[in-house]
Amino acid sequence: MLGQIMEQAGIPILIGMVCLYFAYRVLILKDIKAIRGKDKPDPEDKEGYCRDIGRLLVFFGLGSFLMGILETVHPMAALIQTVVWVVVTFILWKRVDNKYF
Amino acid sequence: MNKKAFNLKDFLINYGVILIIIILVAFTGIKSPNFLSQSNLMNLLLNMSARLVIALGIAGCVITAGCDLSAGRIIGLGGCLAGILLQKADYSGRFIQGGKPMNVILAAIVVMLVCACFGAVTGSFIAFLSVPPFISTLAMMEIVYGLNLIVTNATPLGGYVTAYTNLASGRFLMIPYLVWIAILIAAISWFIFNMTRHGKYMYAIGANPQAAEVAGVPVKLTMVMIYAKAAAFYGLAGFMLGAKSGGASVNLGLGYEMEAIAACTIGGVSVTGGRGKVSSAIIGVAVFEFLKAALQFLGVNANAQWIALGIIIYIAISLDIRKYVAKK
Repeated sequence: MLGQIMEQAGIPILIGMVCLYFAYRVLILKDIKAIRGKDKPDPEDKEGYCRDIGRLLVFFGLGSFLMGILETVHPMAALIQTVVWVVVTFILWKRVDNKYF
Repeated sequence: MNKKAFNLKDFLINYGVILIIIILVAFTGIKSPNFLSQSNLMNLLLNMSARLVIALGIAGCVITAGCDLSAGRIIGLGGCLAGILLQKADYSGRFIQGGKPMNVILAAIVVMLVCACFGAVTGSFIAFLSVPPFISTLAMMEIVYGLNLIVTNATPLGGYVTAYTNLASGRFLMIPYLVWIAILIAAISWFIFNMTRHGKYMYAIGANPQAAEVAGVPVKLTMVMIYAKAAAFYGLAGFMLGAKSGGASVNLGLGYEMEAIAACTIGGVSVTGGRGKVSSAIIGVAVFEFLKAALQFLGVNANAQWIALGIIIYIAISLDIRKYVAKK
């Protein structure tokens, strides 16, 4: 049973875990470099940026888990959900970026 | 003349991993003569061909200090798409009932174009929405995987036309067609990296994106093109892998992106951006494939091989980061 779930939904679950890990680094450890790389400058309001980007990462991670669940029920619904989730997350990402830089 | 003195420490940092692997290969060759036999070398060349195409695609992304985690899934999509287009007309399990198989070259072009569209979308996410490459490519990995599951219904494909499978079995000047395709892609990549404005932009963005933008480099457009080109290469790699194995499924190419990034790093493409050549990817892929084969010939446990490969990747990336820190 577990093997079957992992085979079908392993990738979305893995991606969800990765997103939550990075959300932890940004939200709790305030490690902006984990997301922006070493060469890019930090924003003036580091706290606010970490909070907003961290929330977005949690949102994206949860979307990935949802895709994993949907994939076992209805693959087409999972695909539509993912596309919508990705577009919404990335547009919000751009907004956060514009707000702090 | 101001000749630079030979520094053993620098030499070992730059070429240490390659040196260790050459020693391992030589040792394996002595211990097991079959390792360096013509048939085994030809087999290694065949294995290298698709992986080189993937590594050349990923090298472009890595040079811009990015990465592409969607490579494996796009390879799967490319392989399945090629399979759908090139199944025999009379094959009982034909995916599209009725109709005729497409011309092989035309099918390769269609596969590359479709995959390039996905790469262009990933590049747009990175360039226009400022989303970090690893998040954008993770998202694309999910989308492509879902799409591939829906298109193929998670069913493996087979029953390909002979003209397609001949790409793996047929030879020209004793060398398989797949290897010739890899050589052609390497030549095209060399031309793009070294002789075109796009190549210069790529290195400029990798070295310092802000400075590149100030200098008038169209950073956003270049990023989109880099990811689109990379995805086209992954599509071609999927096409090649499909021809080699005579079948394809959604799991084709699973984990190949990690191997390709590792091969690029071992060869000398810097994960910190701005550095790397076509020869780096070729050396990296060759070294990686020889290492895998050597471990098999030495009878190392299949599961333990993953540990050995992981250690090599870790050392290569650590040395690369050390070089970057020293340079700073």
